[in-house]
Amino acid sequence: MNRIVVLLSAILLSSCLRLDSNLFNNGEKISSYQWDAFQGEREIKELPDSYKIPDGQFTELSLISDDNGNKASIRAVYLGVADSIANDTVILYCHGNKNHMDFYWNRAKLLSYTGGQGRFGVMMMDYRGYGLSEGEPTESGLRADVIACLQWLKEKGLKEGNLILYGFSLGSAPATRLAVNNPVMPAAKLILEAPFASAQVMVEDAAKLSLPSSYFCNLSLDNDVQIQNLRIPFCLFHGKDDDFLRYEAHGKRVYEACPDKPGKKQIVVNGAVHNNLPYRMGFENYSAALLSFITGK
Amino acid sequence: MTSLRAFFRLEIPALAGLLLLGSCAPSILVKPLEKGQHAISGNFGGPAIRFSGIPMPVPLTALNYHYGLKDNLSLTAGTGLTALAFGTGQIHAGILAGILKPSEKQKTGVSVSGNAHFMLDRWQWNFRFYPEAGFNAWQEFGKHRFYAGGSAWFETRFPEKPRTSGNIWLPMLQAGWQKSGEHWQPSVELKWIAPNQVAKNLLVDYISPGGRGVFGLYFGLMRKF
Repeated sequence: MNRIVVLLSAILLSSCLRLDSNLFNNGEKISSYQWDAFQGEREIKELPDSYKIPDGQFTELSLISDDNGNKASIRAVYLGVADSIANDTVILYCHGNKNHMDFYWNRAKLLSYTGGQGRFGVMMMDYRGYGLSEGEPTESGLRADVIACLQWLKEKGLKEGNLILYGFSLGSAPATRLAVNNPVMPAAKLILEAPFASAQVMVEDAAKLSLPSSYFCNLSLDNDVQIQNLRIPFCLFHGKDDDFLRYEAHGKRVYEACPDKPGKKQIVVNGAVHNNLPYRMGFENYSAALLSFITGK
Repeated sequence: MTSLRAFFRLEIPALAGLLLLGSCAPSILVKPLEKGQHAISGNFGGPAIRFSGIPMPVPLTALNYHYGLKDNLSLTAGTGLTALAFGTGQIHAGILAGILKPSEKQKTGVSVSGNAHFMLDRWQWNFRFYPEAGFNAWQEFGKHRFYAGGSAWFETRFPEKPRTSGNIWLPMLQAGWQKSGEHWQPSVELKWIAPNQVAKNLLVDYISPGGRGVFGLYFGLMRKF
């Protein structure tokens, strides 16, 4: 009996299985970005041909992201005239946990048509370990990678008050944290689409009992806590029928945790699941809602 | 290979759910042991999912020890090995009582059980306790024992603002077969876990009747001494 107890204790203390890496679904490898020519799966499957990016309004970037000394070369893209960033408002789009920028390319194009083509600049990046970005994804790396983009935007002259942070699903984590505390420049507004509330809520919602998230992972994802300190306007988009992060468990909790003040709004879309909200809402309606929030009109 | 990678890419909430549900072990002991009798048992299996179209139980394991305190009263203690591999010690201890007084000719019986589940992780030292209560009715045909019953886990934490649904219990219905041999006793059990919960909007393709709860399939083996 003593041997069994010792053996079980040894397994407990030496165990190292964690689900942290399951947060990152970056398995699809690519050798180059294909953008419009990409034939694989896309988040927005079909976007009308009218959503074209004019010549000269597309810049591929390679940036160095520094996560407390853990440096990685990450890839990013800017839609808009890079030389006029000083006079523009920019939407920094933090994509979800699946795939890479080719997967989200149609979304970036759709965002660049908010209020008419080119009215806002749009930037997105592949987190480390995603697409052609080097390294392995980590929770702290997400924030570092977004900061690398912010630094590039700042170097290009982006002015305070002209930054819109947009986080989708996994991207809601760095977007929320940087909307609350941004070492590069303060954001003017925060948009979250289908955010998760926290790792704890993810676990409880699945387990149906109050199991701690520490039983499964070491993640400290906590949008519902971070957003309590948000001081800028906030807009939530969430599919009422989200099949991955339920609105009632996640989006609603995040929204209610955000302090009430002018500029706070939510758009809950009936029939929309986790990754088809713009399609379900209608591209024009989606763009109009974004424009209304960003301009405050 | 892609499928294998995809299997291990199941998302956190789904896996967390699986691990909890997997800790809802089968009713290895439905008939009390004889007084003074010892037994050890192991079980393998868990919630049933469709993976690449193929129905399969999630492989989760547990080890148990049983002791016949009286002829109609047995004690059980065990640990979940899968939870252990995640750095979470999960032990359970409980009691099984036969309602009908056993006899040599007894071929039918009803038993009730109570278990306490204790969990503690080594990462943040978070502790949880869940009581469980259950019952089974069984019938023997020669060396084959068939049984059916129900059980439930109960929530013990009631925060003022529950993070999710505020669910207070996790009921289960089960039916199974055991070979009632002298020493070795293999068993199979089919469990309907949490029929009070809607099993949708989770990434895993659970096998569940009418979209409610999850079917679990368990294999067990007991060795009596």
